[in-house]
Amino acid sequence: MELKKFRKKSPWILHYNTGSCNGCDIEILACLAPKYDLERFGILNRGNPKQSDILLVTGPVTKRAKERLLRLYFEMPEPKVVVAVGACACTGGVFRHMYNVENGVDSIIPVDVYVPGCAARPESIIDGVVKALEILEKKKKEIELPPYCKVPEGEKLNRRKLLERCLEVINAGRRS
Amino acid sequence: MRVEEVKVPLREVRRTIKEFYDPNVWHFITVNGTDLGGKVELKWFFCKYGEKETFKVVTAEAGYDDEIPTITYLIPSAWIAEWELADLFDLKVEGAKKGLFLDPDSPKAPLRRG
Amino acid sequence: MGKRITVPFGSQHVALPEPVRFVFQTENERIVDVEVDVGYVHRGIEKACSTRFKYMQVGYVVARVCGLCAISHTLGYVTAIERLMEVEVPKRALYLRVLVSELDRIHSHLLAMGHTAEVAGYENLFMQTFRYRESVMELLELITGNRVQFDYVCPGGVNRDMTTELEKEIRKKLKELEEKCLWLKDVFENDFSLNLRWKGVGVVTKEMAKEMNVVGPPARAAGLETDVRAEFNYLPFEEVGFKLITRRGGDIYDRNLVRAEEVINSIEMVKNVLDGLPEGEIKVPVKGLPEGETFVRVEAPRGELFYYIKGTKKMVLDRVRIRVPTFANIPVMKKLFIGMDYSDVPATVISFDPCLSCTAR
Repeated sequence: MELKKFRKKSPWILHYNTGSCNGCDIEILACLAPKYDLERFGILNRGNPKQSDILLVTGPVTKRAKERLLRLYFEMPEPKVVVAVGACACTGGVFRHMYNVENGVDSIIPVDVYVPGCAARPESIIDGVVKALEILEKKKKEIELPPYCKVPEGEKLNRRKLLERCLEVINAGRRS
Repeated sequence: MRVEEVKVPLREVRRTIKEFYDPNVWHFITVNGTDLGGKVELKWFFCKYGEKETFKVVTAEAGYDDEIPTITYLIPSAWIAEWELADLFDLKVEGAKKGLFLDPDSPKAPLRRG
Repeated sequence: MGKRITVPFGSQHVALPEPVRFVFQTENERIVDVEVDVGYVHRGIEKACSTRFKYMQVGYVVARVCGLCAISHTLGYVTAIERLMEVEVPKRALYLRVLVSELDRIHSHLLAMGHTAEVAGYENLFMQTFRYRESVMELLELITGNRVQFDYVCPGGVNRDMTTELEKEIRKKLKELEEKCLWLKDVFENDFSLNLRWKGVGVVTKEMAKEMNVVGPPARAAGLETDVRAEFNYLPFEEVGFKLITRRGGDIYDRNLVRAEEVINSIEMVKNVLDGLPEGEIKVPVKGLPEGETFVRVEAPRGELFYYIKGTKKMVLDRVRIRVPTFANIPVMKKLFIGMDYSDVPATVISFDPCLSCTAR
């Protein structure tokens, strides 16, 4: 099966809201609707992480959404591309340094494309997704786990343990 | 704006609300807490259906350790506002669970001053 | 008596645009218990409003509570601060506020209707509704300069004026929009399969609505005559032809029809605003420091929005409290689910048009 071929032609996106104001989320929906029509690139919005290639994240990552975001990220098959949509997903935006916020997606998972704007315009979201497609091409053969999540040789880890370890490392980094 | 404000001690709150509250006439809006430093000012807001700007506010003050009476016997939908109060001010509200909004690693009682 | 099965719904789900989590305990298909978790998007805006931002800036921060009803949040806060500081807002600014808030209501209602159609499996109607919604977004972009976060209202007035050319353009587009919305209403009212799917599902009776203090279109669909636009003088709605719309069924079908009729009414109001737009200033300066406390109710697209603010003669407010419509509707949703079939759950949730970033703030 030439899975790579299909992946190139029809990358599916997964969208997760980690505490944004819904503004970017409805713009993503508007992208999928007839006027902007993201689907002409073969993109479908499916709520299933196990079939998705591109993760669209909106919002500044709240404390409760942190673990879910990591879990979704791990459940997606390699290669995967993360797009941070909106000002608050890029840096925290207006929510930066609020007490329940982690200041942007890149403090939790590696981000490949940043889409600015509050709220991000559909045109720029489309641009970001098209850029993500290029990166997806490049990433095909590499497997990119964040360095602290690499499994040491000889050790066996299941997903739950991996998630716990990553959370531990992230929290330790936060405290210091 | 017509506002009728009733100031009562904390233990009288439920009785005061029970005396006037009728679901056909009054709409329960929410319960709000404001930190006064050392204690919290609680306000229960009600408004009348179909009338212009008619409000009733029941006010009480509670210390950080006082137990706040629940009004879910009278107004079943009030639980969510009470849980929020218990969460964000770290107050003891009858029958309220912690953790509606806050996580274990969030700061405790963020809306208290200082 | 079947075996109990736990079915989690959310926080990430196909039918959900937002992170909310319901954990259902089901016996066969019937739900016997439900737990709600709404705290996924809690950011701490109330705290930040009363510590980090000056009172003139808070209007822009509270707009970020929710992108869909951004205008209502700013409007609520701004009305409160104007009442506190006794600012006389120019008439033209008030009319422009009505214009934008009604256009916002149209786009939000169309979004909700489209979503319910999608959840019912009617993809075509979803796409069609969204196509029509784009014309409202264009109008909003013309007037305010942005598609979602408008930042149009500010303490003392509005930020952008309207020109005559713009007015002509809006009238032209509005005419097209009205035809489209009438067509949509017709589909939502008369489509055979949608009738079968929605009638009698997720019924909120009038008594239940009163008991659980339901707000917004779900309450009006149940026959409860409550609309803040009629109960609170924050904008001149009666001068521009506001009608209170109620229906009696209280099910998903009626909720959608209330929305559809409100869309038609809103278009009418926008037209009337354009006809009678007074001349004059659009903004007055706001000086001084807020002192005292006040509260306002505003009708957001999802229902009653409540703001309580308290100032102590400082640049930073003492307390900003936001009670949003979905927060008030969560208890009735929870009650409604018990005894319902699991297959009806997504449609019922979406028909309440939940806005979780509002709820958790």
